[in-house]
Amino acid sequence: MTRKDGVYFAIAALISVGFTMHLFHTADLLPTLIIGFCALGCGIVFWLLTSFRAPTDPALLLPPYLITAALLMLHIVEEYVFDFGTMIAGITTGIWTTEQFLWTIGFLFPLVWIFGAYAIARRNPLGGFVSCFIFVGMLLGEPTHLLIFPIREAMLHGGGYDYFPGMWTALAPLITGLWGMSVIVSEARRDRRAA
Amino acid sequence: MLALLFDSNLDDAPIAFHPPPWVSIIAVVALSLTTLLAIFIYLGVWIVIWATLATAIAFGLWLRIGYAHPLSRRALPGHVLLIVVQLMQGAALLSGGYAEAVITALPGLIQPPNILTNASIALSLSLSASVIWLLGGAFAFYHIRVGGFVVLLLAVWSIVFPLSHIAMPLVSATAQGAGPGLATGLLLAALAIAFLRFISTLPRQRTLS
Repeated sequence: MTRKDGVYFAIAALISVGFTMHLFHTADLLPTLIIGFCALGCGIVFWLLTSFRAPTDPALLLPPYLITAALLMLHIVEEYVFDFGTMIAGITTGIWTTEQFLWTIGFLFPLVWIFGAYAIARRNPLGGFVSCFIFVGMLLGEPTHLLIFPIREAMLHGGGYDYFPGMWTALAPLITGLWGMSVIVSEARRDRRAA
Repeated sequence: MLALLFDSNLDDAPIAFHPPPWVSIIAVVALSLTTLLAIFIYLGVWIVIWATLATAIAFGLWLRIGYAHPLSRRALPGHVLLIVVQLMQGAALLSGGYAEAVITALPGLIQPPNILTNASIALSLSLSASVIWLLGGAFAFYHIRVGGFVVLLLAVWSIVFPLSHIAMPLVSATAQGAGPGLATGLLLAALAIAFLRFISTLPRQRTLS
């Protein structure tokens, strides 16, 4: 690992640890596991295994990334409108309110991943980190809106399997996220073969 | 026998998706009109004035530099930067209470069914708008005309909306200054002006059919 690689890795690790700690203190274990472990943790591993040393060609990566970012933002709109913050606090011991959700997931979080598109376009290694964390996060995190949250809600508060905020748009960014992951993997394989 | 009911003369030879170019003008006008009317209904006259001004300028600019020739993909990093700063300005509007500042300054302009609250401003001008800006960037990547319009609209909106902060104390005696978000608004406007100047220096691409 070169010195420059080390700096980028340190920045990525700092963002991941800082954001995960913030989540743990405000949103409790479940969102921390989903975003902190699944998206950021596994995202960093995926990044180290694929595009860490050779950033993916922006011409191939930008289309799935921009569309995933747009669909993720649409998903956040649905979550905000239907009060995901207080609903998730209801099935955990977290203290998220609607306003805290808006600040963390509506403003702070998107600043990082929208800036990721800029880094991808500039072929900066941090673009690789952000794209890996978003794509892996969509794959591991979004199905929880259909498979975990509504079931936990029903188990804790009674009633049957029902709507949980963010459910209708959760799987849309997963589709383009998989497209992005396939681009990253195939480009990493091509680079490895060329080397 | 029943197969006759379903069959046709269509074959499966490859067909390129090529709607006539003027369809994008209709699409831009239709989408803009619908969005502006939604803004008028839910956010009120004050916001829709600035949105209409921005849309009209962006439309004229698009016809000049983005309709016949696609915007260069080199415009994309600047477009993404504007989205980031626009989100920062949204955070400033939310934390400072921009909606209350508008209601205080222009109480007569906000009538039901307008829902001008900090939450509605954040939902519409920051979160939902970011969906449009990001999708527009993806469309612009593929040289789709409507995407070029969205890129120009964000740049013009980034210049026009901060003007509303300056205009508020000029048109209202009850306004308490320029309202929150002026500093980030000016930063956004400066960035957008530099971005538009950068776009104008980019070489023209091939003419779109």
